[in-house]
Amino acid sequence: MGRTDEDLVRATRAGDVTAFEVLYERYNRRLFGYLLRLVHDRALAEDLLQEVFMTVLSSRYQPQPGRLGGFLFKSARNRGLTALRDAERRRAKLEDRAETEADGSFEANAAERSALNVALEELEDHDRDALILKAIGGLTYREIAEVQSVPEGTVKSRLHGAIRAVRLRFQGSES
Amino acid sequence: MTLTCDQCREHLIDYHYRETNGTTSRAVASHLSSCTSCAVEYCRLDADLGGIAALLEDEPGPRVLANLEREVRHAARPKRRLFDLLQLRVPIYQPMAVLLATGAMWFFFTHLALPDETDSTPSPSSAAEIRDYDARTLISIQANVL
Repeated sequence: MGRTDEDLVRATRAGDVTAFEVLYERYNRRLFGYLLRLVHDRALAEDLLQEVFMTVLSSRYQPQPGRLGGFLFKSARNRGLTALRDAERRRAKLEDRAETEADGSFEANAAERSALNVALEELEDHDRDALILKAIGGLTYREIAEVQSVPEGTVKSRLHGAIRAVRLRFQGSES
Repeated sequence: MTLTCDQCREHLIDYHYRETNGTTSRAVASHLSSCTSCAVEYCRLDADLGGIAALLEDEPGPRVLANLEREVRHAARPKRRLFDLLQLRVPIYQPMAVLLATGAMWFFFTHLALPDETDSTPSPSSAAEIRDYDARTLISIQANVL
């Protein structure tokens, strides 16, 4: 039985690097994947990932059972959107975008990843956001509704629509 | 509560993400256990959503973990800076005691302190001793003597 997120946060704040590594291993790939799709800039996404984990070290996050994932993804979303509003970084994002997509090309599932990226790019921004927050963030409908400032029913319909669209795109690319 | 295939498929995404209530969850589970086509559809959906989640994940560079580990060590290190000292919580009686002590010292030195022995101004007692002194008397005495 693994340690809970709350235990790991407390141990990390006490200076336990091993506990932090477990926590990092639990969330880093999902958070980074989300940030990367939000800002389209690998270096910026890494900086933001670092900032997001730093908030866990600070007293801004009060450990509560089952809340860390939601907190991290909300924090990542806010920071990512703030970074996107920065005009200079937005310009850099456009320049580096091709480079970012090329980074994953050595991977075995590059074709699938590329197809997924295409499918995601075809979605509306808020539909894509809902899908990613749900699929890898594990946020509840209520949490996504809070993040997007819409009713839960809207989140549900957005998510259902996004999943249908992505699956259709995948089935189309396979046939 | 029993579901038709169409009703069941409407709930599959929510069921996968555990967003259905207890009654609906039981109804979906019951339908899936008895309907092969819906069970196959659910397996496909489950695999697709798992695949999407896996593809959405990405690996950050090693510098992120290295930086964060350094921060964890640094944050746990005890430190006492001037600003931290200013933020120390102290009981309210301590500043009150300091203020009272300062006021008492001021009062003592301005009102109750002993007169300086080297002071050239006459004390009230010496002033009383020469209260009846008249310089004209002294002049008349001198005139009589001369």
